[in-house]
Amino acid sequence: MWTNFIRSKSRADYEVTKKKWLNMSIVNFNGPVQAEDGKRIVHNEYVDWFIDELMITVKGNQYTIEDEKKFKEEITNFIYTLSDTGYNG
Amino acid sequence: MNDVELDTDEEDLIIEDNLIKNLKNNFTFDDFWDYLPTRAILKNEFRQQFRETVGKQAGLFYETERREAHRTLSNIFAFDTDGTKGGWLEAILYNHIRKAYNIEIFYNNPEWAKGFVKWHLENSKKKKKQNFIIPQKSLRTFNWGTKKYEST
Repeated sequence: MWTNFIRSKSRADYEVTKKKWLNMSIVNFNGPVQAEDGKRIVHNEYVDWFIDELMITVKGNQYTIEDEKKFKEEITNFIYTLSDTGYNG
Repeated sequence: MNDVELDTDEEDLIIEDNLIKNLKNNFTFDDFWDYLPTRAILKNEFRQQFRETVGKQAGLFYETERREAHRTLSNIFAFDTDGTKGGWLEAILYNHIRKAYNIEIFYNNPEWAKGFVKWHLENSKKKKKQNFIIPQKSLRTFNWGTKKYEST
């Protein structure tokens, strides 16, 4: 298939587990994404920030999350499932 | 004629006011919850309120993040190529929030509870009737002489 030649390798090709993926860096067209201090940003940090933003929205509208631990797990799984492999290093 | 004549608008207001008072004084949250149509209204209103606030804001937040990730060719959300996964995020949020249903909606829209009130009136009548039904058998006495039941 022609598509096999043009398709970039996805997470499934590397069999990256969620635990491993969380400690990998986010990448974009510049390579690994870095914070202002030059430190590489790993998925785990992005997931935490994403959850914090959702919590602000939820609380700001006077709603409460019943089981925060489970909620965080599901959001992590949501981002992991929809994201490709990052940079391992 | 001494009676003060009320126009229909005023009459409607009085009827509505009485209906609200009746709902507040005679029915609890459980009454509304136990009747399926009012339960459906409570659930529907809660979901609608959620979608208009958190659902909308979270969907917008996700779409902003996904677009930015695609613009910069990031690996984040790379598999949501057409931006259709915002509903999944909304569903996670909805499943995890505490559901605090509010019966105030029936005080603000008492006409939504008309069927509920009618059902309660009919149901309570039936219950009362049932209380006064005495089985015919229990009214008879057993005559040991004839060894037969006799009506009292």
